[in-house]
Amino acid sequence: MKRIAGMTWLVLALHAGGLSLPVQAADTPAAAAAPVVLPPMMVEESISSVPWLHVHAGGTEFLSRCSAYTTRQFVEAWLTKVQLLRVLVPEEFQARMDVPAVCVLYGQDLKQTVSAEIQRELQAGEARNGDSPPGSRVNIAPNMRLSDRDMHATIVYIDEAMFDGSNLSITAGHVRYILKGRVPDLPAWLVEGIERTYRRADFVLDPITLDPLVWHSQGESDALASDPTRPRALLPANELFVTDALRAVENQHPRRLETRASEQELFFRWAFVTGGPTREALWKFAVRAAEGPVTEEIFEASFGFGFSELRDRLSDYLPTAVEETAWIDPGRLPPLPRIEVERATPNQIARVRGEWERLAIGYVQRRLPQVREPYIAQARRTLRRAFDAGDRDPRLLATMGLCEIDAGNEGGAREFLEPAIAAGVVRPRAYHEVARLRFADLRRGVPETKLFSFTELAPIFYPLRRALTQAPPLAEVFVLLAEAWARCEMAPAAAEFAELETGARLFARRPTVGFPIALALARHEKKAEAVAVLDASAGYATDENTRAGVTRLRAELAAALAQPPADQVPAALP
Amino acid sequence: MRLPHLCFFAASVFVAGLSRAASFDDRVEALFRPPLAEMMALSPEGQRVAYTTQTGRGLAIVIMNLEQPGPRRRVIVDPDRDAAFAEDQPPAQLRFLRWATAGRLVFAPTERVLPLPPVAAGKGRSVPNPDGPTIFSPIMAVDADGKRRGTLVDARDFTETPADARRTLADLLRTPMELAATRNEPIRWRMPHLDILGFVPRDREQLVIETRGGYSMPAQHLVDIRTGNVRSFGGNWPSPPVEPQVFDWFRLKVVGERKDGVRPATAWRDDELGRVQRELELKFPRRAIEILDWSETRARVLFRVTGGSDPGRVFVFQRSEDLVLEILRRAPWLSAAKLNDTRFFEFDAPDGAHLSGYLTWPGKPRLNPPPLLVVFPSGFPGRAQAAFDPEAQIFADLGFVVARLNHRSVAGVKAEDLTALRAAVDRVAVDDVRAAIEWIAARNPDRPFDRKRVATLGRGFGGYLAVRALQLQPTVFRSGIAIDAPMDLRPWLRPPETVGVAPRAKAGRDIPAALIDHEGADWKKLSVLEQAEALTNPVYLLVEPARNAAIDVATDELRARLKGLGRAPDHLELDAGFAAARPESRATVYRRIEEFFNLHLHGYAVKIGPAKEVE
Repeated sequence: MKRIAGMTWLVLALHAGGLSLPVQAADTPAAAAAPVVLPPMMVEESISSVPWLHVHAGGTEFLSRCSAYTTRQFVEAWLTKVQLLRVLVPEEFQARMDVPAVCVLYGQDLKQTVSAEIQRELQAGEARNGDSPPGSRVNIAPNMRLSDRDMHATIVYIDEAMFDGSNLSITAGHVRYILKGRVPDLPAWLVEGIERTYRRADFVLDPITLDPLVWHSQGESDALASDPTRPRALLPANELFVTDALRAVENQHPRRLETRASEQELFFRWAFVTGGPTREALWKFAVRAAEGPVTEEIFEASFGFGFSELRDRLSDYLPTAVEETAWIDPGRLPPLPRIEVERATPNQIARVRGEWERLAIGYVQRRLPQVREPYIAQARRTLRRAFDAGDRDPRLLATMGLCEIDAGNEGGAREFLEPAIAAGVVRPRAYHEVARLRFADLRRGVPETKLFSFTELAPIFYPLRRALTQAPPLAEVFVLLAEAWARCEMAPAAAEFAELETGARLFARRPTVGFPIALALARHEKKAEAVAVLDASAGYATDENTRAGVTRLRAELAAALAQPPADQVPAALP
Repeated sequence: MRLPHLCFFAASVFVAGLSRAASFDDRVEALFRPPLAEMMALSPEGQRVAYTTQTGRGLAIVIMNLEQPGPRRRVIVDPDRDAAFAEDQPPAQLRFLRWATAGRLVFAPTERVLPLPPVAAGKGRSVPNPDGPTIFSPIMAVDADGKRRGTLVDARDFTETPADARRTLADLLRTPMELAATRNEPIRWRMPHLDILGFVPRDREQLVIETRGGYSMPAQHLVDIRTGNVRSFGGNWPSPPVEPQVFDWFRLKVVGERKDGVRPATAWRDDELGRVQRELELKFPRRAIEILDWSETRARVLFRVTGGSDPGRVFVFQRSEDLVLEILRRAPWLSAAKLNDTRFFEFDAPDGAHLSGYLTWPGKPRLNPPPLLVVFPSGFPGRAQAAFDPEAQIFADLGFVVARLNHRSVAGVKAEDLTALRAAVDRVAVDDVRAAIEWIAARNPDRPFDRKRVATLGRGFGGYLAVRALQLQPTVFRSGIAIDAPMDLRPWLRPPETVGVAPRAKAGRDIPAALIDHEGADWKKLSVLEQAEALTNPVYLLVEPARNAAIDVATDELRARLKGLGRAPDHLELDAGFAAARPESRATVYRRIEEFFNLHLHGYAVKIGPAKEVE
């Protein structure tokens, strides 16, 4: 297992070629004292003569400034690792996105990845604040993943002289991202268990190798391996599978938290390594656990035994887990899709590169707002180049519209988004943004209690319902749909009620989705259904406001249900 | 040319047979090995646990540190135990095991009493020895690190002589031995029993004991657990209550009471312990939780969990962290994966009676669907079946679905059942089993069993019911095993009063005789023997000779009658090792039972045709 030392630990947010610059994934909050990590800015075509290459394979668009050989090697390696990951986590438990992911490969000098404008801005800021010299608090990540609600993008620095595709690995952070993006939401215990297992997995030389489990610490693990009868604390299964909301209020003793983290990994490892029916039971159970709170009956329906038996089995497996290296036969992998490396068109360069640069805006806004403008300017420049040349590809237009929204120019976004959705672009967020802007226009200047006709709301419903046909399902689409129906004079038809109920089912773990849906259902005399939605999501409320709102609405609806039909609509949002 | 191949084949079969036999013997040995931790104690600050473990015929105490788990200290309880004494006595046990302080453990083996031989009284007569008996009642202590182990006091330290044996002031200061040395005539002596009453709360290094049974009145003493020094104690310390009451040794009060029921339960009088019990029951659904001990502040609670297929585990509940620390499995030599799945079940019979039991499913059935073995409890209403039963595991290994039933009255006979039970206890029990079979079949459609291959088994009164089931419902129950079972209830319930009969002839009759033995009892209808002609299905009678005269006589008579009917039953004489659960004896008997079932239940030659029910 020493072979890891020589491998390139890469990925969607990866790090190729042995770079020493820090990598900061977009979804990882930066520590207060840690240097701010900025996304690299790619060198303009006017400065670099290296051509862009393009590959579209496996649901990802690759834009590369590396050689065709390196690009192909990278894409093949990447797709292979994705296939291996599916051995560990079946595809149905990963995020599904109809919008292709974006991956930009580059290989120029890293010094060229910070624009002069940004450097000037940083120096000016530091001079104003008397801060330490430039470069000591801001780094440029050579590799980074940035994500939006309906897609994600990665930029990868490759030192072609050192690159070896076989050493490519997907980072645990990316695995977490694709697990967290799955709809319906996977329970936290499963996501964390898989992620921790993955951190100890090696997909490089002997696919797939799980190194011995570390239980709390290496010392504790060694002690358990040498004395299988050593006392050990495990959480009972009903506490292991508890909802996030209950986790938040349970005993937070460090040893308990440590036990939880280790046991989540132990459970996943046990079920996965045992294989056969136990592995099948795990995924059957995972499906049920994603739909709602876990009960012993649900668990037993999958595994054939109860919670107490599970605790015993995990406890008995623990001494083995801390000692054994498990080899998982991935079986016969499907053939890779055809990979064609071609010279990128101006449209592809603008779209893919522009998408990356657009995503960087939001990231920089959160981390270092004073350098936001150069990133906005860079993204606009890239996207405009194709637009000004007459390109009206709806994907380009959607990206441009979203870029304007991210830049805070909502007014300017619609001129791009409206034609994009009119052309049927695959971009759920674009539809949502258009609907949101239209609904805001409709509500502007009218009382909150005013109801609208279906005709008035149709321009909002239309894009939202189009968004529902694309993956991933967005929570905000269902929320907006519910809010629109709550303001509609006319009751939804059966199919439209079904859409709301789908939202409640897909996002059962999110009371912020369930609550407006329940309001809309209650508004249109579906009180029993509204109560069911609230009941399903009540256990997941993590903050007091949401909990109080759900409880209040639940009580109002229960009271209404107990009375003869009334026209009363439960009151406002919490 | 074929011969070598045949030889090789034969040799292979022989080796495979030997291997299987050895494997079966190992399995029986493992299942019947005494479990760990029959007794346990948690130290006052909750940092250490001490528990007992059998070492052959001996006993050891294992001490473990929960804070810094490392090698466990093992202390032999009584290394000087006389070998001859040990041979004919049951395995060593403790009567007391408690931590005095965080670092010192006090324990006491069960008392052993050795009467002295009779003495000659002239004319060839012998009379009981006026001295003694010799009482071995050591109270011992050991440090948590296994050091400073030794006997603090023993009964011999309190040997007494009659008051009139001490004639002078000097005599009062002499020990009995010194006194005897000063006299020409023999000095009478007696040893008292030592009872342990507890620790002095403000000074737990002082153990309070009481002597009783010597020449003097019972007296209380303080024993220093560091030195063994004894001084008299002026107080009147109450005796701690015994089971079923649960005593808090820190607060010196009864805090609960163990209850007999279908599953072990404790009725807590102490609110805090009641809350802990409920918390633990939530953590271990479908299992039985038994709180055993607790630290002084109750921040840590020692408890045992039983149920499911597991022979039991012991945990410490660390309440401040809300963590349950598993400290030991009671039978760690048994692989959980190789144990057959066992589940508790309960339901209400058609007449409203609450019935319960355990169902063990064979991990590797030999037939599809597997046969069902119904095991009757050994008494009536008897005690609830144990959650883990080695015998059920053996029969599940042999391919049976094993249903171990509790009688309807296991938690106490209900008034509404009394009439039916007094009239026909056998029919009520057999009807309950039928109801259970129907319920099991209905509730487990995905795990069918062979309704045409249902066998019965029981020991004692349960064996009687196993055979009565064959007589009453021959179409339901196809064969049966009766172990030390009374085939005729009247002589069994009314053994003749004979001088010199060992008391064990009466033992084991776990049944209230008045339920059956009353004026209106129809003994003939209750007797297997009197209805021998109704016993048409194969039965295997296993009897330990001379254990119970009534059983021996009735069994012989039944065998003779059945032989006369051309249906001689299978019969096996058991050795004493079977009742004592000695593995080698058990393995032999289970093999014979397997052969019986192979012949009479499993075999393709078995003809299962219509049978007539006899009322």
